[in-house]
Amino acid sequence: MAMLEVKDLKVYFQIMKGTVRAVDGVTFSLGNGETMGLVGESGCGKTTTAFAVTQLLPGNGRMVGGEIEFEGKLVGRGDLAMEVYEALKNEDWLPEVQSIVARVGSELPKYEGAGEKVGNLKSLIEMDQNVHKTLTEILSQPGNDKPSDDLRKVLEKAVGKMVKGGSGVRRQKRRQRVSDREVRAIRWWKVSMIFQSAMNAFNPVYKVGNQIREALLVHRDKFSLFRCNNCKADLKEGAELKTPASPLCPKCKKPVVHRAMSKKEAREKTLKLFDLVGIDRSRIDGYPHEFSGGMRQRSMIAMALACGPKLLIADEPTTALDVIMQDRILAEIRDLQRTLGIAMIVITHDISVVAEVAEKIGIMYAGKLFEYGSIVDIFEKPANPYTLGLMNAFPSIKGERKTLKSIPGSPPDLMKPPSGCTFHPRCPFTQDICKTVKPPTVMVAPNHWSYCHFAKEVYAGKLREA
Amino acid sequence: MSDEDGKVFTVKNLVKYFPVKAGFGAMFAPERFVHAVDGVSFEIEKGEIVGMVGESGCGKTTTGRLLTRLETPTSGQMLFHGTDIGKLEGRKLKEFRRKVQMIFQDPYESLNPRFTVFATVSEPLVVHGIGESYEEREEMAARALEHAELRPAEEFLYRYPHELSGGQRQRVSIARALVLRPEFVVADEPVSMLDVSIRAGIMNLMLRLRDEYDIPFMFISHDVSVTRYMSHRIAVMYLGNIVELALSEDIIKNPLHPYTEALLSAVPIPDPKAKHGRVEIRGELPSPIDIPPGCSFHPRCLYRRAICSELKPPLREVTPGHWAQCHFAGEIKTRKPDDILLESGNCEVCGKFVEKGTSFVQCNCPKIYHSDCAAKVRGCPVCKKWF
Repeated sequence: MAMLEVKDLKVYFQIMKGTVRAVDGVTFSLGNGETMGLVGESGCGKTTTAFAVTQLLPGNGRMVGGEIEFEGKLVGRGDLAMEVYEALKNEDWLPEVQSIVARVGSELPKYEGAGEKVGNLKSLIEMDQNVHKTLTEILSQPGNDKPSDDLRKVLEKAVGKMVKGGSGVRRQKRRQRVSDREVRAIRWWKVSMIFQSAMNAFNPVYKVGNQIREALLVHRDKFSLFRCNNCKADLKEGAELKTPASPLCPKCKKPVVHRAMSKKEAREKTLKLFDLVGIDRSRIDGYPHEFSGGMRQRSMIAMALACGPKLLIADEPTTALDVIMQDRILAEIRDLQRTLGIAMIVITHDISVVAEVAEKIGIMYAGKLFEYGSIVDIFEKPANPYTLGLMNAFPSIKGERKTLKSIPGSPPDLMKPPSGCTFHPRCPFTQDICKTVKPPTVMVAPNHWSYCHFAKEVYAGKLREA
Repeated sequence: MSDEDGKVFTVKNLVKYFPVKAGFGAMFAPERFVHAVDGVSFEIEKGEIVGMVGESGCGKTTTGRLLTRLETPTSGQMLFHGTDIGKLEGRKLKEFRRKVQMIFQDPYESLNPRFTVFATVSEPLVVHGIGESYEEREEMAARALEHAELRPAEEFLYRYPHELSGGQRQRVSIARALVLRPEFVVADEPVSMLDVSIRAGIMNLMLRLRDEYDIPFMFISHDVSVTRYMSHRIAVMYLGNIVELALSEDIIKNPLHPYTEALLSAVPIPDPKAKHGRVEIRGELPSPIDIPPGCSFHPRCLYRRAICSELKPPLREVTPGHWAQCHFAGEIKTRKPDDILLESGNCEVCGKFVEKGTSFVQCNCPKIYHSDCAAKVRGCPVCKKWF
C-alpha cells in the first residue's frame, strides 16, 4: 500500500476579492522510499499541495475537498461545509450539493469506529459528521428536491455558521479544524519539510543548533528512550534494549519506563545531524548570518531529518543556490535517499533538477496535475501539451543547441480560471472542445496519466509539432 | 584601437578591489581588500554576445558594472571604441552612459512601483534631453515597447508595474535599456527570476534584438545552459579571473580548464537517463579577501601539481580562439558533457559496486570510482591519469 495517498485534493484561499482555487483536484500516491517531483510555474499550487500534506496552510486557506492519508491514517480531509458553501455559488447548485452530500455520506462510514484509521484526527470526522447530519435532514424534507431560493438560504445558513461564523481566534481555530496537538503526531515526526528559500527560513536571533534542537524537543516524548527505575540507568532502544515490546533493563532485568529526551541528548543528536549533512560540529552555536547559503540549506536539511521522518518534502531546495552548490545539495539528497530510505517529494520549477533525483514526476498547472507518471516515461513520451511546452523551453548543455520555444501568454488568474481546460488559451493544439469541456484524466499507459482531451494523440506523437 | 577592427570593448588587466572596513580592530590592522575583479582581459566585438558564467561571488556582476561605469576600476584599461572610459568624468561620462545600458536581474525590484511604464521607459530620454516634446517621447517609448514585444504599446504605456506579470516587467526593463539605441548592453541575469515558460520568450527576444540592431551584449548568468543558448563566446570566471574564454560550443564540447569541467558536470541535465558522472569540486569557494597563491583554483583542483600552488598561470591561447588560465590546459584530458558514461561497474579503489544514484567519478580510461575513493587516491591506478 502506498505510504501517502492524496485523493482529489482541493485547497481554496479566501481573499477580499473572492476565492482563489490554488489546488483544484490533485490525486497522487507515493510509496515507501519513492521520490516524486512536483514541477510547475510559480503560483500553480505546488507549495500549497505540500502545505496541505503537512497541515501548514495559512488561516485563509482551507482544504475544501479530498482526503490525505498517510500510512493508511487520515491526515487531512476536505471541509464539507466549505465545499457545500462553494457549490452554492454555482448556478446549478442543487444537484452538486446533493452529490457532495451523497459522496461524503459514503465516505464517512469507513471511519466509523475505526480509531486506528482516523489516527488522531477524530475532530475532523466529528465536524463533518455533524454537518452531514444537518444537511441530510434539510435535503430529505418534503419539497426540498427542487431548487428554490428558500432552500438555498437554509443551506447557506446551515453551513455559513461553520464557514464564516464566530470571530477572531475561534474562527481561526474552526477554520484550521485540526489542533496542533493532533497534527504533531505526524508533522515533523513522520513528515517533515525543507522550506523554500533557506536563506530566510531560520530565525536570525536564535542559534542554528538550538533551532534544530527545538524540533527534537517538541517531539521529545516520542523517542524510544527508557529509564530503569531500579538502577536509574538511561537506556536507548537498539543496542542496549533488544526487545522493544517488553523492554527489560539489561543489568537488573526489571521492566523499564519510557522517558523523554533530555536537552543534552538533543544537543548530541543535533551534532550527529551536523555530521550527517557535512557541516563542521563547531558551527552548532553559530547564528544563521554566519552560515553561507549552502550551509544554511544543509542545516535546513538537518532540521528536517531531525526526527527521522518517513517522508520529506523539499520545497525548491536548490533555487537560490548556484550550480555548484545545487549539484552538491542534490548529491546530498540522493545519498540520504539511498542510505536512509526516506520517501521524498521534491518541489521545483526546474524540470532538470527533477530528472536528477526523482522516479516519479507530477506536472502541475493552475492547481491541477496535468501529467503524472514515471519520469523516464514522461521524458520519452510526454502526453500533455503543457509538458511538451515546458520541455521545449529548456536549454541544455547536452547535444546540439536547439531553438527554444516559449509558451505564449502567462499563467491564468486562479480566481477566474479559464473555462474548460485551464491551459486552452496558451495551448498550440486548442480545439473547440477544450474551451468548454473540462478534460478527463486519461491513463495513456500503465502508471502514466494526462489531463487532456487529446492525451492519447499527444502520447502517440501525432500532435508534437505545432 | 579604432572602430575599423570591429572591437567594441577592449578590456586589459581590469582590476577592482573593494576595501573591507569591519570592526574596531580593523582601524589598526593593514587595510584589506575584496579582490572582486583581479586582472581581467577580453575583447567584445561588434554584434557579439559574450556570456559570463561562474559561481556567485566570482566577480561577474562587478565586471558588468565596471563596463557600464557603475563602478570605477581600481586599475586597468577599458577601451570603448578606442577611448579609455575608466577615468571619464562629468559630461563625458554622461555621454558614455547614453551609449551603454544595463538590464537588471529582478524585474520586481528594478522598476519603480510609482512610475508608469511610460515614465520608466522615457526617464532615460528625459535624463539625456532627447525628444523635444512629450508627444515625441511618448512615440519613442511606444516604439521601444513594441520592439520588446509589448503590443499594443498604447495599452501598456500608462500601466503601473504591479499591473504587469513578471515577463512583461522584464520586457519593460528591456525597452528602457533599448530606448536610447545603445551601442552596448549588459544583461545581468535577466532571466533567472522568471518562470520557465516565460524565460524562453525573453531569451528569444534578446537574440532577435541583437540580430536586428547588431548591438553587442554581455550576458551574465550562473546558468551554463542558458548562457550557452544566448552567447557566441563564453568567459568562465573564478575568483575575479577569467579562467577560460572561447566560443560557447568549444567551451561546452571541449572544456580545457578543470574548473569549467567541474562547472559543466554540475549542471543538471533534463534527461533522466543521462547518468551523471560527476566531477566533484571539493571545499568551498575561498574568500575573495585572501586569494590562494599561485593558481587560485589549486586548492579545489583534482589535477593539481606542485607548480600550481607556486606560480599563477597566465591566460594563454591553447588552441586558436580558445583561451585558458591553467598550466596544464590541453594536457589534461577533461571530461565533456557529451561523453558516454558507464552504466555501472565496480569502484577501482574499494572494489565495491557503484550503486545507481551514487556520486561517482569516471576516468577516461574508462574506469569509475566513488567520489570519496577518488579523493583519497588522487589518481587512477589503472591509467595513472589522475593526479
